[in-house]
Amino acid sequence: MSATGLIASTAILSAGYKLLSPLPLRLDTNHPLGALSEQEMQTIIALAEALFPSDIKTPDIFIKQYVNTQTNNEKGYLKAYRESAALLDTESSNLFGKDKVFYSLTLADRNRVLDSLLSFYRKYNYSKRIQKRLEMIFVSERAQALRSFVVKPLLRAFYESPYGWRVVGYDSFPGRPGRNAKTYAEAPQNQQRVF
Amino acid sequence: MSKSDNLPDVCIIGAGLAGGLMAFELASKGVKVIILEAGPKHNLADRPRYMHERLYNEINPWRPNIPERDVYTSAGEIDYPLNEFRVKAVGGTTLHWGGLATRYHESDFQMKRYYGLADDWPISYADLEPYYGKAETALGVAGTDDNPFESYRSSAFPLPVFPFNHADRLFEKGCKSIGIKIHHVPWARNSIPYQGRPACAAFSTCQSHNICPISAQYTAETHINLAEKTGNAKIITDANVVRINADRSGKVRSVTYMTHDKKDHEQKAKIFVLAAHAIESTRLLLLSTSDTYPNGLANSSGLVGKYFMEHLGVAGIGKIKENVYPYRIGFHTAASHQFCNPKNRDEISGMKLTFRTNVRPLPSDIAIHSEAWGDDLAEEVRESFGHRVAVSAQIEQLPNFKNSITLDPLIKDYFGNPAPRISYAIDDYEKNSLIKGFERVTSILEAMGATAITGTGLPEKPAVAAHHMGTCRMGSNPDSSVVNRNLKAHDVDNLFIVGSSTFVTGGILHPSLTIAALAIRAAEHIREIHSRTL
Repeated sequence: MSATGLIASTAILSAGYKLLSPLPLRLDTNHPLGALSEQEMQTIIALAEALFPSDIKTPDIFIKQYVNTQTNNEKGYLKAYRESAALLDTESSNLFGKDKVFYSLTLADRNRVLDSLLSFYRKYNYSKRIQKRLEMIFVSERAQALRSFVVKPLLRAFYESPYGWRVVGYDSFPGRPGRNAKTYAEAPQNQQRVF
Repeated sequence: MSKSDNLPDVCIIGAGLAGGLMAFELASKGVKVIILEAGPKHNLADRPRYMHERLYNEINPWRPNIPERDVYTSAGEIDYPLNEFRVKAVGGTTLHWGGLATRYHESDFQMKRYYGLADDWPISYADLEPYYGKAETALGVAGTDDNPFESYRSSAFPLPVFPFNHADRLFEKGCKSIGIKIHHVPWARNSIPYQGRPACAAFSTCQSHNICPISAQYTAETHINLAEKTGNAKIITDANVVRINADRSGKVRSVTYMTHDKKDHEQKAKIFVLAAHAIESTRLLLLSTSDTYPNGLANSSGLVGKYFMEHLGVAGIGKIKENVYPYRIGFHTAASHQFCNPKNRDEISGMKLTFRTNVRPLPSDIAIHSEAWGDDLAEEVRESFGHRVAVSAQIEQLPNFKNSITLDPLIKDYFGNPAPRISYAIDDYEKNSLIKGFERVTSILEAMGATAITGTGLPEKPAVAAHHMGTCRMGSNPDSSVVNRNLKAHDVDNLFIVGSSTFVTGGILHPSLTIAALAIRAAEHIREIHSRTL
């Protein structure tokens, strides 16, 4: 067998193995706790601006506090955020030129970077089981980590926060009652009346 | 302690709903009480932190604090998830209950008489009715008498009702179109300040996260604290009772309990009350063998641990075009008892209908399951949130000898005692009732114009309500029951067993108010004994 044939066979076998027994992506908990550099944090804030809706201003401090809590308390997150920031910068350079870093891009270009890294998930609407198998082949581990350990947690944090509840017109929500005890029987005041 | 010596009059094992009420009812009338609780006493001031941790870190503060102590095995057709449901702490399962405080219907006590099924209770609704009123006052039940299907009541609800939520009119309209009447729901939750606890402030975490951060919802901690305040009651926590010690005459003289450090202690008293929930009460009786009681204490009938029952629930979830604006309050406000006593109850169980608007997904659920981000995701969240409603039907499980709690022959707990072994299954009566229930909830959802209707709790994957009943059933005949109508063990003069373990049949509705009413009634009986003999 030629060297090319050997490489091709190995790649096919490796892909076949991954298809049959995908290993779940895990945080690298051997990596220490700690804080991101200022530049890395700037990249993550720029990412959050792309992930969160444009009409609801989310203060930087909200993102910083959330990220710092994770990277300082849960092993593996510092590495995940750090590598994701690097990945976003690399992809920005690939798409827009060598000197382009993610946080310097316009919102539209940041979306292009995210599209480039995460398009697999948007394009293919497979069942979770099949998706798990295919992503091992078609998505780089770093992009998988970006999605699982950075994008999803940031979205969850936002939509669990008062800013996220504002998207559906709620000032009060589970854990923050407001005046609902007095008003729950009436039509909602902040939202369009439906009845 | 009583005038003549330092011996407590009554030792109560378990500081949950039944134990807490018994403690207060006795201590407030001068009876000296000691309460042994296996778990810790949670500080009320920690409740807001618990809520936060539950909301954002998914930490459940009510899970067993010593997992090795709470091992169990499941041997029946259905793998029974016991540790999802029980709480060992002062307050017991009221720490994570929903707060629903419904009375049983008259017919629930006489299933044999009316439907030729199972057995009748040795007491009737009429016997218990005054105690239901006392229980509603004790727990602070908010309700109104607009339920035409409820059995008669001689007392009004102590607290004003929680009105229907804004979207209940959608259920009302749909139900009315197919001849179903909805009504309000009685809750052991303060609609106004009561018992030194504030009114509900709509933190909306009571049903979804099992925590009220301000204690507006009743927990049995209330009555444990009130009992202690009388000066006649003392509680010992981390007291894991492992044996009830009877003497040769057959009377209980003491209990042995072990603390976390595995040291044993003995607690004597004149009367003992077992209030440790259907599973642990059973295990303790079976562990307490002696020459006098070779099959376990109070078990001459051989029925300790038998006839374990649950409620089962089936739900239909559908999508409607209107936004119901869910989660503005943490609990549902509409129900229907119209089908609790069907004429064909001998074939199909009665069922209680519940109408819910607090149905997931939450905005954060939508976000993490979507592959969109930014403005596209926000639009998706806006469109998807608030359009799902659920109608559920709770049904009765008939007592079945095969459903039982025994001692596991192999697995031991933290203290070296056999773990409880649960054998649990459902029969055709329950399966057919679940199917009928799903048909009914589907018809309501369709009448509301709901689409994309899905079901949960169908017979292939039944969902239990975490209502442990039976195992120490009451009755008049010592050969076919464990306790008498006053909840005294037939075999043992100074042992009472309280809680839902004594239920003969399970009824349709939530058991808590019946547990409370029976406990208050049994306390009255013990007080009579106390005044005569102690």
